[in-house]
Amino acid sequence: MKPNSSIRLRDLWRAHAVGWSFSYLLGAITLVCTVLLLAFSGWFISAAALAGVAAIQAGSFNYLRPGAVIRFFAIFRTAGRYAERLQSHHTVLSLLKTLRLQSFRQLSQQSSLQLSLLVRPGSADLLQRLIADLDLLDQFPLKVLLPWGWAALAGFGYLLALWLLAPAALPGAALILLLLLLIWPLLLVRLGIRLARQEVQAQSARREHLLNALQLLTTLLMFGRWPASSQLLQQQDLQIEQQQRKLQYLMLGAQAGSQMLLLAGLISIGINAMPLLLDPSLSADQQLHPAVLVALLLGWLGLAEIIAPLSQLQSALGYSLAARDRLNQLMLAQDTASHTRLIPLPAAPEHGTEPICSLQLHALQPGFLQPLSGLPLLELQFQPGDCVLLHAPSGAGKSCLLLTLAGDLAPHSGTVTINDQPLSQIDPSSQHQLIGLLAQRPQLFQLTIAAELRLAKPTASDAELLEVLELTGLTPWLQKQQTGLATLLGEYGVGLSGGELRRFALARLLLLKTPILLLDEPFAGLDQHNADQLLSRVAHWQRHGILIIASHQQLQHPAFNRHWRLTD
Amino acid sequence: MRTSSQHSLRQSLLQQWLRPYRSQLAISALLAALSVPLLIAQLWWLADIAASLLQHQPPPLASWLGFAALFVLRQLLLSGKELLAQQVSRELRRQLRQQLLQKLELLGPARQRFGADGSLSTLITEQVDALDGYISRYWPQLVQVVVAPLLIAIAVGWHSLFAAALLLCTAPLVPLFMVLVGREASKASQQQLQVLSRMGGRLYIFLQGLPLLKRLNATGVAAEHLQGAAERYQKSTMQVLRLAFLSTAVLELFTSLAIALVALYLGLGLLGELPWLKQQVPVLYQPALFILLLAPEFYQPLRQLGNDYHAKAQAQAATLNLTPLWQADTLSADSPPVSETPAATTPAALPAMLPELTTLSLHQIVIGNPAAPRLQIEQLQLHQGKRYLLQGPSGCGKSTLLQLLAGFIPGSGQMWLNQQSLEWAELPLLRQQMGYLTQQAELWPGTVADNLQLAKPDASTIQMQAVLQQVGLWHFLQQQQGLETVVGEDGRGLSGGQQQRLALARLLLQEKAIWLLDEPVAELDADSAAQICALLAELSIGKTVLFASHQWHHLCWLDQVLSLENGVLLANRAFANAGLLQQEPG
Repeated sequence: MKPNSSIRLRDLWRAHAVGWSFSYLLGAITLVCTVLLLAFSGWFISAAALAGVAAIQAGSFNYLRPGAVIRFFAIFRTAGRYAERLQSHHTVLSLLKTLRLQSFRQLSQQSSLQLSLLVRPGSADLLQRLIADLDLLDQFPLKVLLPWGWAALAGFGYLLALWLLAPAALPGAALILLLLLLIWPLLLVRLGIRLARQEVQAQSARREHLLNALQLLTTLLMFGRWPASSQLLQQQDLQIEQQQRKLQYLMLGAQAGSQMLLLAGLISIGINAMPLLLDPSLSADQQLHPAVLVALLLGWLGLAEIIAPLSQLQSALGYSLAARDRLNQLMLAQDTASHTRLIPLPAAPEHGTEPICSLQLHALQPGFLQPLSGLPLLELQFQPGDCVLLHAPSGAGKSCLLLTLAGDLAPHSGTVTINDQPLSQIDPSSQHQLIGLLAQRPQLFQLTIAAELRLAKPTASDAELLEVLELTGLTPWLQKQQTGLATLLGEYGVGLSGGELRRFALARLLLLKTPILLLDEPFAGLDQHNADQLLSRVAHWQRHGILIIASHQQLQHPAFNRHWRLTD
Repeated sequence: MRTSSQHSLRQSLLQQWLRPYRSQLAISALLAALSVPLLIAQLWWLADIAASLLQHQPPPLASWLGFAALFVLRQLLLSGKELLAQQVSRELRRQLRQQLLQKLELLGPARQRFGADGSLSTLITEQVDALDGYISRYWPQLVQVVVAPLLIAIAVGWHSLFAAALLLCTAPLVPLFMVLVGREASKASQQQLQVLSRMGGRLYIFLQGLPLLKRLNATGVAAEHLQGAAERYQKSTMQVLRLAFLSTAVLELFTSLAIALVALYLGLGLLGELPWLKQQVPVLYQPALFILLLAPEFYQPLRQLGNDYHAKAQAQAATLNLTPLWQADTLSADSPPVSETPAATTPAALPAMLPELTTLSLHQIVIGNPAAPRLQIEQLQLHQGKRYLLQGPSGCGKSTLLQLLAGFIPGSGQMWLNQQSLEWAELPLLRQQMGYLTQQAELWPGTVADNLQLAKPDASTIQMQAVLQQVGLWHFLQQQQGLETVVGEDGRGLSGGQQQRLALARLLLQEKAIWLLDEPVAELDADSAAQICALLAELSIGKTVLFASHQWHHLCWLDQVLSLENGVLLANRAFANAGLLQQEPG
C-alpha cells in the first residue's frame, strides 16, 4: 500500500472489486428477473388471448411451460434481491473498515506537530467530521456506480431484444437510451456537483459559526451581542435551505426529464414496431407477433423502474466528491508539511545494549511560531544517571520545552542532540525508542488493562505488566478488579481516579524502557508520602538513564541530583 | 417499563413537532393518493393500446394521447408531492433549530449540563437533519400504504372479483407484514446505526490519542486493534442482517408470487383451461392485461415503506438525543412549571431598562424540585459596592446562584430591586448592568482587537490599549503583533492566565457595575491564579462583585462571605469573621 496516497473515488470500487462485482451480478439477476416477469406475463396473457379457447384442443399451445417460467422469475427475483442486499452490506462494511484503517495509518504517519493541531482538545468536532466524511464515501459505489451499471445493462439487454425481435424500433430506442443513460446525466452532472459542493460548504460555514457562537454564548448574552449572532445563524440556515431547494429542483428536473424520455421511447417503439405487425407483405417469420410487441412495451416500462434511481446520481456524486476533498485536504496538506521537516536518517537505536546515552541542548530556544519570551538560550548537557528536577514558573513554557526535548515540536532555534546526533535527523520511531514523555493529560483507549499496557510493548509478559503496576503502586487497585489484567478500562469499563490514571499512564510509559524519560507533573494529586515513594521507585528504575521531572510541588528528595530552573 | 415510556415520549415529541405541519403534509400525502387513480387510468389506456395491437389494428390516437397525458399529469403530481414534503421538512427543521437555539439562549452558562459545545452544535445541525427522512418520506407513505392498495383492489374487482380476491387475500397479511417488516427492518437499521457509531467511536478514540500512540510506537498495534474490532462488528452485523432481510424477502416473494398467480389465472382463463371453468373465458384480454399491470402496484407502497424504515429509526434516535435539551426549561424547574408560552420571557412586553442596582433582596428563593432544591435561599441582600465571596465545595450551588442573578435559571420566590418588586421575567434585563467571567475565558478566534470589540464595537485603539495595560497584558502583546495578535481556537497562543486577562480587559471596556465571577482562576496554576486574583482585587474596587470559588487563597480583599452547602445558603458574614472559622492554608 502506498502510504501517502490520497483517497480516490475509483479506489472505493477497486479495493473491493470482487465484492462489488458480485453485488452487481446479483442485482443484475434481480433486475432481469423483474423486467422479464412483467414482460413474460404480458406475453403469456396476450398469446393466450390470441390462441383462444380452441388452441388447447388443437394442442398448439403449451400452457404448462409459461407457468413454470413465470414462477421461476418470481422466485429468482426474490432470491436475487435478498442476496444482493446482503452482499452489498457486506461490501460496504468491508469498505468502511479499509477506509478507516487507511486513514488511521495515513494520519499516524504525520509529524507529531501536525497531529497536535488535529487532535487538540477543542478539535473533537473536526475528528467527528472526518469520521462522518469517511461514512459518506460509500455513496459513490452504492448510489452512483451500481445504479448506473444496472441501468446500462438493462438498457443494453433491452436493445438486444429489440434487435432480435423488432429491428425497426431499434434506432429510436437506442437514441433515447443514449440520451437517458449518458447525455442527460452528463448534462446535469456538473451543475449537480457544484450545487452539492456549495451546500456542503454552506453547512460547514454554519457549523463553524455555530460552534464559535456557542463557545461564547455566555459572553455574547452578557454583552447583548447574541441577537446579532443568532440572526446570522438564521441567515445561514436560510441560505442552506435555498441551496437544498436548488438541489431538489435539479433532482426533480432530472427525474422529469428522464420520465419524458421514457414516455417518448415507449411511443417511438410502439409506432416504429407497428408496421412490422400490420404490413401484410411481410412473411410470417418477419412479422412481429402482437404478443411479443406487448411484451416489449411492458419491458420498456420495467426499465423505468431501473432508471429512476439515476436522478440521485448527481447529488450523490457531489457529496462523495466533497467528502473526498475534505478528507484529502486534512490528510495531505499536512503531509507535505511533514515531508519538508523529516530528513530520514536511520539512527542506531542502541538502547539496551549500550545504555550510555547523552542529551545536549545547544543554544536551544524552544517555541511554537515565536520563541518563548524571557528565556535565555539553553546550553545544557545531561548524562546517564542524571535525575533532574525541572522548576519552571507558570507560563515559562515548561510543556513547550518538554515537547521540544521529546522531538514532538521543532525548536525555534538551536538543536537538541542525542549521542551527538541532532534529534531532527533521527527518524521518529527511533526517537520514540530513545525518549519517553509523560504528558500532563493521560489518555486511555477503552481496551483491557493488559492491552492498554501492551500498546507500549506488545511482547511484554504478564510478569512484566505486574512489575510496572507494582512499581507505580497500582497493585492494590489491580487486586480489586475481578477479572485482573483482562478488565476493560475506560468509558464502558472500570474507571480510574485522576491520580490512578496518571500512574497507569506512567506504568505504560515505563514499559518502553527508554534511556531518557521526561515526566510532566507526574505527582499531581498525590500526597507527599506517596509522591516520595513513587519518585524513589521511578528513579531506581531509571538509574542507568536520564530522568527529568517537571513539577510544581516542592520536592526535597535525595534522588534528585540536579536541579534545573527556568527563569525569566 | 422505562423503555416503553421513553418510546412513547419520543413518539409524542416527534408528533408534537410535526403537529403544526400536519395539514401541509396531509396535502402532500393527498397529492400522492391522487396519483393512484391516474395510475389506474393510465394502465387502462395501456391495456387498451395492447388490445388494439392484438387485433392487428393501430391503436387509436386517443389512447396514445390519454396514456401520455395521464403519464405526464401523474409525474407532475408526484413531483408536487416531493416538493411540498421536502419544503415542509426544511421548514420544520429550521424552526426546530431556532427553538433549540432559544432554549440555549435561556440556559446560558447552564447549557453545559446538556453536553460540550461541540456535541451541542452537532445536536442542532446533524441530529435535527436526521429527522428529514421521517418527515418527507415516511410520514406521507403511511397514508399511501392504505390508500393505494384499496383503490387498486376496487379497480381490479370491477373486472374480476376472483383476481381482486386473490390480491385481497393477502391484504390481511399486509398489516402482519408491516409489523414484521417494521420490527425486523428497525432492528436492522438500528444495528447499522449502532455499528457505524461504534466503529466510528473506536476510530475516534484512537485518532484522539494518536500523538500518544506514536510516542509509544504503538500505531501498528492500534491498527490491529482497529481491524479486529471492525471485523468483529462486521460479523455480528451480518448475522443480524441475514435474519432481518429475510422478512423483506418474504414480502418480496409474496409480491412476485401474487403476480405469477394472477398471470396464470388470467392466462389459463383466456385459454379456457381453468379447472373449475373449462371452456369459458372469465376475464377478457384487455381487463386481464390491466389487472396484470396493476398487481405489482398493489404491493409497491408497502415495499417502499419497508425500504424507508431506516428513516424512522434514524428520526427516533435523533429525537431521543434531542429530548433532554428540548425539555431543558421544564426540567430545570421541576416544581412550578414555568409559564409554557415563551412570550413571558421575551423582553418585548417588558420595560427596556431596570434602574441601577443599589440593593437586591431575595426572599425564599427555590430553584429546582422543592423536595431537593438545587438552590435554596431564605433571605439574602446584596448591596452596591460590596464584594462577596461565594464559598463552598464544588456542586454546592455557587454557579447556580450566579446564573440565577444573570437570569439564566427560572425559579420561585420574591425579589426586590431597590425596594421595588422585581418579576422573574425582568431578571434578564439586569444583565445590562452585569459582567461575567467564566472558568475558561470565552474567546473568539480572531485578533485581540476583535475580542475587545465584542464588548464595545466602537472602542478606540487608545481605549483598548488602556484596558490591556490595566490588566497587564499590553507588555506581552507589544512583543507580538499588538492589537492584531491572533488568538486561535480555544485561546491558543495565549496562556490560561493571559486568556483570563484578556477576558477581564473586555469586561473593563464595558464598565459594568456588577461583576459575576464564576471560578475564574480554578483552571489556572497557582502563580497565575494569585496574579489574577490580585488584579481583580485592584480593578474591582467600587464594583459589586460576586466571586464564586471553592478555595480561599488570595481572596482576603473580599468583604463578605456567602457560604453554601448542598444548595442551601448557610451564612452571610464579614470576611474577617469567616476567615477565623476557616483555616486558610498556605
